[in-house]
Amino acid sequence: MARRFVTVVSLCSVLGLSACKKGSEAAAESPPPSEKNPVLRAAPPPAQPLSPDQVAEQSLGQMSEVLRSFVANKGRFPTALEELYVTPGYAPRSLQPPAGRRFVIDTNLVLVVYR
Amino acid sequence: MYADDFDFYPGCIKIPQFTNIWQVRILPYVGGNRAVFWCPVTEANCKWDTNVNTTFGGTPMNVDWIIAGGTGTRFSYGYNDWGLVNPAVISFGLGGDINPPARLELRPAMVTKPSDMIAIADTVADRNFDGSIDPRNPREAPSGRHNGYTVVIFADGHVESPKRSDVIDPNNQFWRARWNCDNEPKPTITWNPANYPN
Repeated sequence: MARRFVTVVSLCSVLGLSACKKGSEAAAESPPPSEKNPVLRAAPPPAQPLSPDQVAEQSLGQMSEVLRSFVANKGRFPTALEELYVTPGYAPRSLQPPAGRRFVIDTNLVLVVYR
Repeated sequence: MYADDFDFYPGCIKIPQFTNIWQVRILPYVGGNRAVFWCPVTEANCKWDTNVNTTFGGTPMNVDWIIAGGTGTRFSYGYNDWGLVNPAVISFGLGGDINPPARLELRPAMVTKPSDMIAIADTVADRNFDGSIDPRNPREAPSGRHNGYTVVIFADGHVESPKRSDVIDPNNQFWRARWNCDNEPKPTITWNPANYPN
């Protein structure tokens, strides 16, 4: 079932691009990346309220996303978790662990975990 | 072919270096032809070619050093690394960060429905994690550069050209499920696709 996973990359250039039009319809260059571009984006609330465990899981995932962006952009880990908050464009102060838990950087996994 | 040979999908990014690996890993399976990784609607500077694309890493520049980051290598196509779920040890895409043995690739057995599993799609070529696609992030979402449509390659190898607006619609349960290897729409995940770049 995964046999053709790769070959379609080449097929894509044949099958997918018949409607390609160079020029005015080409993708406009987006603004140059900068650390002012927020990693996190506001989203509408989910249709149903999240359980505390779901909120904790999402907070952890968002913080891990922030950490990944930081490491990818800076080429190093933050000296402390606080650096993710004080560096513009990374973690908003509102992104906090649930009561009784704390975020910890796992440099082996390149993820934020709970302790 | 790749997944048959290795019993896992290529994965997206090698950490902690943050270099894209899926392109390099599948390159032998397209006869070493880097040209097929370029969408002609994008500028020539999106090619996998150091003669026209100067955003690769290394000194001297290494054509296989594809930088994943906020000012990474410019590229035409992205890989579904995480699905709709944020980064974690387990990926709900086709494999996110790779660093064995702590962070492993995704095995084909983990993909519930390959014909409904997004693998690769047109990406917004803005140098912001161009090798990845994520509908929740405006700068990583599939591009709608084909007159509002996007080319999507699925894990079983078939290709579709849906409206980009459907692929990134948080209210479209069918497309939501196609982002995740368990084919579940993950209803607790939300995002706002307004004003995404094309």
